Amino acid sequence: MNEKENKKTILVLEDESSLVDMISSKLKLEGFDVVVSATVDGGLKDMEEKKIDFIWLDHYLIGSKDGVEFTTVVKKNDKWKNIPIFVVSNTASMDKIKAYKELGVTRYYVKSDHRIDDIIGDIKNILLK
Amino acid sequence: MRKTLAEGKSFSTDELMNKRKNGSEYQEYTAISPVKDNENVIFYIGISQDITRHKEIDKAKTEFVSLASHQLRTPLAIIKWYSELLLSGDAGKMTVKQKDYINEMHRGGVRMIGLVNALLNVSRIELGKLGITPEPANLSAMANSALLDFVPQIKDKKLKIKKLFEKGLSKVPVDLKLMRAIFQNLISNAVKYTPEKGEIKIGIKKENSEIVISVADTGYGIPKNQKDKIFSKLFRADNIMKKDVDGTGLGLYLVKAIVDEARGRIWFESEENKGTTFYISFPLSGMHAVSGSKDFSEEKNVV
Repeated sequence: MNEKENKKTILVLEDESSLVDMISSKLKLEGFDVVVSATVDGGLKDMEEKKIDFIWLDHYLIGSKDGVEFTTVVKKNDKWKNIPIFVVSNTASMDKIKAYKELGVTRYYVKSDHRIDDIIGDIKNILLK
Repeated sequence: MRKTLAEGKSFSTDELMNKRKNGSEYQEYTAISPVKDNENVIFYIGISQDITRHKEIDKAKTEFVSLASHQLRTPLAIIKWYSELLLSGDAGKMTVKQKDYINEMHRGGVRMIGLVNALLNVSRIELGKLGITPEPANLSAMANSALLDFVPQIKDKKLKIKKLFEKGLSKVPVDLKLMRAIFQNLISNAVKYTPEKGEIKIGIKKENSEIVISVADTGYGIPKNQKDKIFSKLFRADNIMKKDVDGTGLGLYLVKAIVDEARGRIWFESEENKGTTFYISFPLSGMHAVSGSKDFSEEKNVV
């Protein structure tokens, strides 16, 4: 099996353009393919059209739909419900964290409380084991 | 409701949805109390109130804090992560001086994040959104765990740490996150404001019908004429400002706000250039429970 076929694809749902570029570069440096979107509808379209192995999800996105709505749709779809989701947001409200945990996301990070290398390390542990 | 009333007790709820005559729904607070003649209930008094507006305001407050925290933290995350990228060499090798400068930027970013977290906790307290959920906790273990966060600074400053934890103390019901924040804030202050080779003593004991926690240092102390301001928001004493030690001026305000809400007591003894001891006490029954959103951001004091 060649290296290209082995490459995992991460969908990054993030509306802050300067963060998207940096997260994307960092993930590509680590050997992943990256697909980015700033809206829930854009993200769901990517899920339909591409083979996504992991989801990096911010809570607040462009448009009226948020990460909770995206997660709800993904978890209801048999093809997608087992794809790991890391919610990486800057909101730390207990009600939001609880909502995501009840939907079954893998982990919730408050961006400013973590080093980006640590989050990427955790992604590698899940995807590359 | 029926069960509570049948037992002759009062009942209240703010979770009822009711309908007006025009068919529109509203959220209702209802309280029903029995009026007794000796042991027999002779009638009930019921009070109902439309609390739709109150609930909307409550929801708006929660969403405001959530959105504010997001908006404030996002540019800080950008600064932090980009400086981490530079420091790890992702954009190429840097000179020693370049690394130093980026390190200072990173530290500044981490300090700002700590300040934002502290301010958000203050806003939650002042909006009445702080919840307290007590559960049985081993306070000595919590103190030990909080101390671990400060091991690098303690080693750096060659501080002596003494632990005076009474043996055989039963678990005390406290909110774990808030109790941890209390320990972290008091220990952080003791470590920050004690010069090299000083001593910090942490005590936990039962005294009469209370649990008393103390954190004592041999540090700079609090000036006599500023002792009454020590729990004020953003206050930092003059002698500390001159020492150029980082601090938000919010730690003690938050600790006191939590202790007051939890129906504990906080007080201190201090002498300038000799040291300070902070005391916190709770009844043996622990912290008083308060319903709320239970959000409390951790202030990171370590770089």
